[in-house]
Amino acid sequence: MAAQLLNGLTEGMMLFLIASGLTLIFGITRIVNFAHGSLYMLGAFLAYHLMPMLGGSTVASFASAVLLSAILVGLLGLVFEVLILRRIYGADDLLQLIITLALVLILRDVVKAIWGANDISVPMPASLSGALQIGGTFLPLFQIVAFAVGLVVITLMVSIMRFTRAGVLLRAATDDRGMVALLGINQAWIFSSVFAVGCFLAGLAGALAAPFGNVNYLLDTNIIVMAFVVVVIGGLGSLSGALIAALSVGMVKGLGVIYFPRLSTVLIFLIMAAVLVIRSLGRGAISK
Amino acid sequence: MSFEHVQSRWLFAAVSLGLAVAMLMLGPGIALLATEVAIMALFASSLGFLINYGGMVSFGHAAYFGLGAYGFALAAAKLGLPLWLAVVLGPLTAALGAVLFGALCVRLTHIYFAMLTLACSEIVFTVLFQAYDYTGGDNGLTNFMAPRFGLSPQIYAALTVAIVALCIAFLARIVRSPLGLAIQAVGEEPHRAAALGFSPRLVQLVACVIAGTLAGIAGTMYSVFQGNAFPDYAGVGITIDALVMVVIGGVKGFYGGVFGAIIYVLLKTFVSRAFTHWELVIGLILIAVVLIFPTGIAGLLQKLGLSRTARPSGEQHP
Amino acid sequence: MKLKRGGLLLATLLAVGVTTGPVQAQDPIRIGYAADMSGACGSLVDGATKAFRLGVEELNAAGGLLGRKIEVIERDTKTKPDEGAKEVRDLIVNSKVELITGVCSSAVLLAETAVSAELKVPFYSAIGNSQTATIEKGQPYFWQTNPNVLMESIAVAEYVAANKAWKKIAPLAYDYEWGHTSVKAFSEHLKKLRPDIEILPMVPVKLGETNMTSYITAVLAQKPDLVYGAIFGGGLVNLVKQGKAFGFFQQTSLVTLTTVDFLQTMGGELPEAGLHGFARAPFTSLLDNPKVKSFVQSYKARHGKDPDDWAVLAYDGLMFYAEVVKAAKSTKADDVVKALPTVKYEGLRGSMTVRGLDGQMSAPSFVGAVIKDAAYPFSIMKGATRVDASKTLTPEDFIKSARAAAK
Repeated sequence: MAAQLLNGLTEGMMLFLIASGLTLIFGITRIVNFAHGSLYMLGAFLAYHLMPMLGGSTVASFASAVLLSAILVGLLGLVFEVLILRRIYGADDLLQLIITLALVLILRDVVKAIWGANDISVPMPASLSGALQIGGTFLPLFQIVAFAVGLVVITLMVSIMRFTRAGVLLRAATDDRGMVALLGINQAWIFSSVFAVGCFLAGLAGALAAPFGNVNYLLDTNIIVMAFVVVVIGGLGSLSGALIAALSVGMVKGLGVIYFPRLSTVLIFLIMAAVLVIRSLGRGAISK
Repeated sequence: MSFEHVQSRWLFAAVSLGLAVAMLMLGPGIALLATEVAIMALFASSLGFLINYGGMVSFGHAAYFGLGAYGFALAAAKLGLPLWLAVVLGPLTAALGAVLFGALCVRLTHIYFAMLTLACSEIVFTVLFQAYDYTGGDNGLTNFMAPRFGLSPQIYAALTVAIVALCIAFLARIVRSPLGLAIQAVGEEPHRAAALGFSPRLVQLVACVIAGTLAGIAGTMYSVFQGNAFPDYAGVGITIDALVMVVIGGVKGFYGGVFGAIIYVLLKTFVSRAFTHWELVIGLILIAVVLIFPTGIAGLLQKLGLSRTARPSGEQHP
Repeated sequence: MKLKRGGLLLATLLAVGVTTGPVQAQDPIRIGYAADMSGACGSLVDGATKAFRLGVEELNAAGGLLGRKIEVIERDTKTKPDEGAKEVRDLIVNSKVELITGVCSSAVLLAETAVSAELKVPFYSAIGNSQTATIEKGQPYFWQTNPNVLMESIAVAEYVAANKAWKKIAPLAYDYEWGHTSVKAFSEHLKKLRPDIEILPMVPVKLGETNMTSYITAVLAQKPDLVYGAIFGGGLVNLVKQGKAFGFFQQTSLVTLTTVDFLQTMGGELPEAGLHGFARAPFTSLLDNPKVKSFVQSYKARHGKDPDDWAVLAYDGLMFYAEVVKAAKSTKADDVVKALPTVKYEGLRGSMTVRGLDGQMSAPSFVGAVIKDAAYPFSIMKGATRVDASKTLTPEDFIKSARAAAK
């Protein structure tokens, strides 16, 4: 059981990386970005493509491939926001949803056209492929690294939010978008940069996880669902909520495999439904 | 289109009857496609009703489509009930599901409402997918009846169009009734509606059950049409299709679901036959449609003066 | 079928793909290739489609069948049963195809075989398999040219039973019908062969799971000698890669579905030892057949890589159909069905026939250790055992009683 919990914790941090960009984007811009999983997938494919160019499967080339892939995905997000999403702010929320859905379809086919339909395996850098042995259980080095990256991301994000002027503005924008506009801040700039950073995080998660599993065009749907569940359980827009939710989901999943194995497929939905229903019980008749 | 006008009512009846009769004269291939369009039109309209009037965006509407299909198919295939009874049980199952899930979901609003509906539909999907001793699992239920009750494609198309027209007329009636006005009031301003003495959750629950039952009718008709049932019918893919239909049809008008279904079913069918990379093409078309016609087809028709609004009170809330 | 009677505005949109007129003797033979090109099956269908196209070209270059050219109409079922049934119906009603094939997913297969039975058009599956489609829902117009899950499970059980070092087996399987049926058939046969073996409770795996680590730690905690994995595709890649990080192959062994596409994906990353596989048509086990050599050559010349199992199966299925048509001297459904069990086919996988009762081809399975080989950039099932259908084919009595029970 300890092994399941420990592993769940590291798996949870990878879930947090997946979810962090989604919750950031929603918190500030209120955009429900269905393409988040697709951007994750794109990050993974880019890492696969870039690693050989950057020197093969060493830690250095892997790290630079991850960073470069994330930047490229972030840039794509920026372009997408400026060229398309920006035109429909203020229109019905559903339009944004359909636009991001369209991006899902487009990215899936583009990825298929460039890299083919077959599964792809990104080689794990040799020095990351070992494991620590704690008692009788193994803890893969890669998961420790991913955990550290997750910690860095959450620390950076929280510090920026807390201690910088940009962070103050972002927090203000989360609470009251109109007020920020009244302060004379260019809201369009805030939205574009937040969207780009959110996409960067999606690309980062995808590229980072690439050597640890299968890469194919079906990643988009598998990932987006997990991302949404974590974000909703944590409370939309809340970074610390997403972190707690991700770690808890990871650990419950680990225990679930042992104690209620037949539920593994619906488990995350059951958790989400339970959290939502319990949360709703504590409210008045209507809540916004 | 307003149903207060006797004239419009007759016009709707005449158009529906005309369409149904026209089905009898089509070739079998086109009759099959027209049937699919009609069923999806009903499904999308039921979701459109929930979104446009009830103010509730559901990510799990396929649950009721799937329950409608499986309520029918399980009754016919596993319980061996006569088909007429099974046909009634399909939408009833969906209605029951809507009461249960609706009661849970209406406690929440906005994206949280949407995500809880998604959870409900994923739970339905997983039960259908995994409890294969009862549901057939991913193998679905097949060979338990002749598709379309063995009717010719043309006759089943006519029957479908007639039933769909009746259901949509019923929806239009609801929208105009005091209940419909209450649903709209709660959908737009829940606090104000509560102050007026409505119980917002009860009103929303009723709207969910109406939409769920109509989606269930669509699901049952689809199962009869295919002569089978598969867990995919409760899958998130069908919900997303319906959301796209509602949006490209028009998020403000009453007939958005119908227009959206016609366009999207034909688009998906023919683009996927014509292009290997059909998802790319459809994605690009969707972006173009949303940017060029942000109010959807219904909005476009309204602008051209071809259709009057069915949502007089909603205009000030874009 | 004419559209103008409908008088609808839509008519122009709908007119695509409509053909008319009776079939002439010299008309091409139209084949409907409805494949799961997008969606969950897309990665498996890729090689199959390439090989199918190659086979059609070869047949046409040799003058077609019965002097008629073959014309293929391709459709994407999107790996959805209702889309599959819809496309197949349209292919038959509007495009007048005389044969349907291409399917991969068992769910889509079952939806399509119902349409084939209803409209009486021959339908075969070369890469998808479903024992339900041949047994409980068997119908005269359907045949299946690859082994089904019952046959494969028996082949694996034979292989596992022969290794006396394996005494404790942990099944790890996708949590749906295929996974459970695989484990059940495997366990039952293994228990018959080796009553001493302990089979642990199955660990069910969520379909589409991207992170297998919690399953891996749970299975390893049971300390099995061998893990039987009813896992395929992307999930298997996850299992092996993440398993390696946990020292999986130092602690236990894995036997699972290792088709050539999976081996190609993994390249040099598979463990040196501890991985055993079963497969339906690995070309590396078939190369002493000259037909396979020339097929591999032309496939590789065109696509720059070796054909995977799905490609071999798709090509073999098509060539079998060609032989049936030649024997029947007709493409008419009833003539084809009548000729079906009479053809002794010499194909890529050797000599095979289709049984009349259930339309199941006597297809072999291959089981063996997966090891590195200098001749290929990926590990292969070198020296895999070929398990012939005579050992695995479901007995006729069983089929008859299963059908009676289903009624």
